[in-house]
Amino acid sequence: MKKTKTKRRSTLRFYSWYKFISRFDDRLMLIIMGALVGVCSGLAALALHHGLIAMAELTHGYLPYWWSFVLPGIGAALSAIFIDKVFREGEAGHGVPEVVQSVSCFGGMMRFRSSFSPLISSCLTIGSGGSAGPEAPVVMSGAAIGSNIAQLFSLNERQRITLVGCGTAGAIAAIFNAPIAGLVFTIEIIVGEWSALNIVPIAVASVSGAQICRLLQGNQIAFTNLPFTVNVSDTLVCIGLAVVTAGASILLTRALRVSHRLSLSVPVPVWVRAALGGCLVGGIGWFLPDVLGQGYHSIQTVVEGSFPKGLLFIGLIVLAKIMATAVTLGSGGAGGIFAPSLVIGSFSGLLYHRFISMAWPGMAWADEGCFALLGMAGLISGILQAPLTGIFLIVEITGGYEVILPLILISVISTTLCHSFEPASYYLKDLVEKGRFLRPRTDARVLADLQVAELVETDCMKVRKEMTLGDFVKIMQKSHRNFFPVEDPSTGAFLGMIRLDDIREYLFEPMLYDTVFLEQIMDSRVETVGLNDDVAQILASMDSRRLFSMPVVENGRFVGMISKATLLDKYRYELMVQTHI
Amino acid sequence: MIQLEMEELAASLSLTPATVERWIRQGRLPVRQKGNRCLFSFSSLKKWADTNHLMFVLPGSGGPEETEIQEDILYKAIERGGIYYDMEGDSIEAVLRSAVIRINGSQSRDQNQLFLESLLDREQLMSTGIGRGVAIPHPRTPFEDGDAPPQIAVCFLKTPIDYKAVDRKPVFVLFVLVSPSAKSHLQLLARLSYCLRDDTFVQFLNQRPGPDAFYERIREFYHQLDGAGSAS
Repeated sequence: MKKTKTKRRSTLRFYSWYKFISRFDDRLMLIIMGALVGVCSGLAALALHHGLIAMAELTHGYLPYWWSFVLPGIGAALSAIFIDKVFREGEAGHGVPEVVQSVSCFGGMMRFRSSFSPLISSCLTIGSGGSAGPEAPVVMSGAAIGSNIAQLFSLNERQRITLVGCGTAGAIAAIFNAPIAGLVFTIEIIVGEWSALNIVPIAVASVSGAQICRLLQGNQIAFTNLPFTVNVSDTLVCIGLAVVTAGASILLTRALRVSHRLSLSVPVPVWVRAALGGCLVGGIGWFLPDVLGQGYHSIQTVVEGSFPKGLLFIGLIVLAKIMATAVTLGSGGAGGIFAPSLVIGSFSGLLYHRFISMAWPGMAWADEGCFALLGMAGLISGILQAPLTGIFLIVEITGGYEVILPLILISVISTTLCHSFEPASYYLKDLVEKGRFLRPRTDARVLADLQVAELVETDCMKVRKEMTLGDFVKIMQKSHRNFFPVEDPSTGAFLGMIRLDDIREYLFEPMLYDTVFLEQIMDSRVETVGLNDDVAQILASMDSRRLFSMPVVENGRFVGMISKATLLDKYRYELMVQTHI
Repeated sequence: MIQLEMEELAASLSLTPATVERWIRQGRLPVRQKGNRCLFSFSSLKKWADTNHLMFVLPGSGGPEETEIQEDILYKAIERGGIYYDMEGDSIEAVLRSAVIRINGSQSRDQNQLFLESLLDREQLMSTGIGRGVAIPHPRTPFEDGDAPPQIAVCFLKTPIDYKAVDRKPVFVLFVLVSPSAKSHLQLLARLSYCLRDDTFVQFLNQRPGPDAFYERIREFYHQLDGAGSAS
């Protein structure tokens, strides 16, 4: 007796607890899960970080040998074999575009193996000396962790996308120790939607990702620097630097695409291609070791203002780094463009500083390190076309808040310049070309969500082909539509349409009532659409043919009509529901 | 928590099941799906529907049902209007006056006068005598009488009179048609003219049939009209 009472009481307590949480509907649950995802992706970032350190120690001893240029080749080949044969993911992606595509088209669905395969393959590529960044693989891994946790709890698409964003934010926050950059990058590039429902869990994930990293590694700022003094003249000359960084961003974007196209045209297996690319990068790195790996060490030297060489040499490094990155990633190595962009940016800033010091030697310019920071911000903003990410990332990884004014200026100018030359950023270009880049609350999103099956109107009266005009007139009186599908009575196959507009002149000729059959007056070459057709394409073909409605025919049978009027109706509901979250 | 089938929920939101299913999958609708059943709380879904300007009426709670009313409107209109015999008068105005008084017996004098004037107004425009001894007097504009349903009063005259009909034949029966809207007016007129095109019906009218026989005949027409429609 006593036992059942306590049992009932605990059940009641659990029930009231459940009700308490469900009163906040899904928000509280999403926040808790966001924190969990942030911690997991933070751990993934740490794992890759330590993997890269271990790989650097492993390869360090071999660098003085003349044959060390094959090391990046071996690493890239192993990485390609690993991706292609072990994980069967086909070709290694760069990480971020895959995540954006999953959010755009698949409701945030990602495979479980994507949560660790990019870590291993990028560790091989970058650790052996390939010129790429570890951030994009970590982003992909974090996003896949978020997606799989969402799938485990069978959450809906909107919640799953939020958790994918949480994974991304946690990853960026952890790997750069930059929580704001994690949040802003996720919103600006991955999710593309500012709403309280998204931002809160993503911010929590960002915090927990950065926190787990600080807990295990200490609170380090990636690139410490001396305090800078920034004058008005520095702010003004940084407009020129914006032009330089925009040029470098465009060059890098195009080089990546050209290199990818060239490597695809070489008819050899994937791993041979990656090995060749790796050896080429190793060759460049033999002469200019600064281009190898993720390159954070060189950035630190530049930011400290202790980089020794002259103007031409720095220009050469910028070009070599662009080429090495393009070759590494284009030939099939795994990794991202974040770290290379930072390296190229810092060297561009340095280059510009050396140039203006030569041109106006009397002026008191700010430090070299300051311009390196500005260059990094310009390159990140330019290549990602995401000014906020550039601004917050650089402020957070350098702790250099005093440069904020020129930083904002250079970020926005660089973004604008790049946008006018490359309308879609490097991450999104492929998706935009394939028409798979669908941001929330856009026309393309609404049209992609609407299916023909939801729009079709089935209240049409079907008529038989051997019906006389007289019989048809009687049916017509009952119908409130202007379109009548004609069917074959034995097979049910769709034969054509009768439009009242086309046959109006015959309708008032009683002479014809018993002499004309519908088969003779129907339009048998009518344009039809299928149930699985794309609504945007249907609309385009309606526009080009000046039609207001089209018959939907599936497997040779008439299903219904799709009309612009209904489409507008449903489009409006869809838009309201999608924008009222 | 309320539980509904997918189709029922879609119908109560005036959406297609495909849309409802997709919205649940995408997490736009505050509904949980288990197989084909949908679980939701009425208040939260109602609130959701209101913010999105969507209709939400639970099935069986008396939503608008218009399908039944459309049927058999001629029969119902005549039932409302009534059938009158031996209408007095030897001119158009005189028969209409006695008709108005008989039909609207309980109404005030002013209203009767107004109604009569609007009928005469229409007759001056052009006679409503449509031939074969039948006239269908009606007001020129739909009668502004709120939501009163349309009605047709059938008035058999004591003696046929000259109604300036199109075929110059004396008129022996009036169908006084009053309807609240142009749409119901045209619908009734169309059905009435369908009946009057039938020669046997005109002969039948000539015999001044009793109410029971008359209603029976109108019902037959309804089934004929209905039969022609559902042939597809």
